[in-house]
Amino acid sequence: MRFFNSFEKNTEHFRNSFAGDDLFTIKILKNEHNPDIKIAIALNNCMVNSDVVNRDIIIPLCQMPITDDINSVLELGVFVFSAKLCDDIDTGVINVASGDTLIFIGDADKAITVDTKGMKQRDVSAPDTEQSVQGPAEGFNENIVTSLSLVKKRVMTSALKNEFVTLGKQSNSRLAVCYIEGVAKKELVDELKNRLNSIETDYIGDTNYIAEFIRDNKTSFIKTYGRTSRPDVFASKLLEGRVGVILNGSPSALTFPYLFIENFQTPDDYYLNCWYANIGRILRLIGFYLSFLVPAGFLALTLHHMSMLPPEWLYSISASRMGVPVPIVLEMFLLFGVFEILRETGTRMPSSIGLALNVVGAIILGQAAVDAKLVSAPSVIVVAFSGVMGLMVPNLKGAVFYIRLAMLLLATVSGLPGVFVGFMLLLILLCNMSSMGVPIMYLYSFFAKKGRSDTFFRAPIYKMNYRQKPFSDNIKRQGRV
Amino acid sequence: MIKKISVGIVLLLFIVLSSFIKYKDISKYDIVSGIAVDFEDDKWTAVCEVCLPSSTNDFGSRAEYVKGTGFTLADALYNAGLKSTNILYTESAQLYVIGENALQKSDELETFFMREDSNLRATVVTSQQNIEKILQKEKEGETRAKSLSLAEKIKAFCKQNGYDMPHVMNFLKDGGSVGISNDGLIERRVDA
Repeated sequence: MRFFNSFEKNTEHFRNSFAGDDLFTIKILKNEHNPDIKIAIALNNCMVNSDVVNRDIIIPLCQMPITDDINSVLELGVFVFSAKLCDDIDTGVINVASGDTLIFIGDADKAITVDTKGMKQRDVSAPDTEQSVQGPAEGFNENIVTSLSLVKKRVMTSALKNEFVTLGKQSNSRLAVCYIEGVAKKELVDELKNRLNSIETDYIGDTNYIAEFIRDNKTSFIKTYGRTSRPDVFASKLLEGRVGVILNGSPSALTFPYLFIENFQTPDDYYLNCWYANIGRILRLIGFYLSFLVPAGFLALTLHHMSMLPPEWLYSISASRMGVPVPIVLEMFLLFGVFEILRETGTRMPSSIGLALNVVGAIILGQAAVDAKLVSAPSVIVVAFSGVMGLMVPNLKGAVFYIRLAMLLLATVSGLPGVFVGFMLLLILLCNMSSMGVPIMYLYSFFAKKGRSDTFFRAPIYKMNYRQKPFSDNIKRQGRV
Repeated sequence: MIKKISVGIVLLLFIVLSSFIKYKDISKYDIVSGIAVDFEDDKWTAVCEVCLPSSTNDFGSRAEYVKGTGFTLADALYNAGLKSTNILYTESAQLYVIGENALQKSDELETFFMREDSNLRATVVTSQQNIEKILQKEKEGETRAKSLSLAEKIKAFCKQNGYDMPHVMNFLKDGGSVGISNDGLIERRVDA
């Protein structure tokens, strides 16, 4: 709906829209050169930068020689570069709600909207969830402009596009779709924008809200979207041809498509010598698979295939099981339950209490349980080993829980053939999953001949010459190709 | 949907057709560390040494012995198992002691070992002595079950003298190379 041709009607519309909100203010101003001009500004007190409003809007509007022509006011009466005309009254209401200041001049059927957002924001600091030893210590914060500037700082090219979209009927959350023109595949960008536009919801609280709406395989426990709090990671993904989403109010950004191997990549893989970095990557890969294969294998061997155990191990396991009241299957499930409880409790605790909790949980509780013959020592060792392995890949810690549960059940009922079948089903599941239409196991396929330089191993940077074909038509990245 | 249902059916069939009902907890088994067999009075005798954990969980420092007799070797083992508190688990036995008389019944012995195919690397020794006496612990200072320490001694003896390792496989091939004399000494068998 357009603005009214009446100063009173326009201000009245805003008063009605914000009725009951005491933070909303409409201030009537008088110009000292032409006091007959009707001037008003509308703003939300807590969301604007008072200095900008006073110095760059109120003082010029009161002191500059302006007329009632809104275009001349835009040129002379506002000292802010972001000032622009707004035709739509509903957009004006949203702008005021999000921290802009609206200027009404006479009976004009337009208003001037000025970006005066001045909400307090957190400093740029290293994200706790993605620590890096050698890399930059910068992370996104909740302000979209700050976050975008951190990306722009790393990709200083006009090809970096940031297209703003507003989502959420009530929250009117602003988000930016970021990509590098000429690098990202246009079909991918269009697909992402289409999916974003199809979201119909009241509230977008975090990037996870968006991810859950637009991801492929919505019901799967394995992630099909990338999430990072680091601008360096975000920028490098854009340079690989991926498309990103940064949301105002969220300290983490999304990237699409997201391949399975990305779960095992960390920022330090690229900030350390590749030979050293590859050790960590291989350990993470092994750790992920061992985190569910070790407990399942242990259960299968002790229940169904005892003859496959070396006699010394069998004697030892048998000895430790003597006097333990619960069957080994129940014991394993109970121990994993306790491990998850301790992990969950530790996550929410302050670090000082978390440390004490770990000591009590891991050492005292575990040792006491073994001494009291409530559980057997080998089971505690297997659960602790597999639990720690599962935490080596934080992106998959939720998935590991479910995979481990399924594997334990299959190992219980069918032994090693069950574990084998479970592993095959997991591979089939992974091969069937996609992210923005790109199979998440793409890099393991025959089609990914080029660009495999960053999978199980990371090649030296000077050898990483190609982008992935499904992300980018422009696969040449560097070097002589 | 059809895909999910078919995967579910396959998984269900797999579970049902597998042996999940049969499994027993490891604590329901008595782990046998050594088996001694002989043939007397037209009957087979089997003595099993069952390792028990002590208070310090030093497995093998305590052992109990169950004995069974029967018209076949399988019968004898079955009857021995009946005297045990739990199910006898013989597949991890480290030592087989074969009495002199039992050696004459090579067909039945071969059948017995072929059935115990998971344990082909266990040590086999023939004995002129009473098989029960060989398995019983002699010294109080012994820290492990007799069969475990005896198996190690026999292996060390063969290694030292350059003989073939007295595994089940070798026993099936040439009837065994190491025996225990009447004096209780480990020695190379004359006919080996």
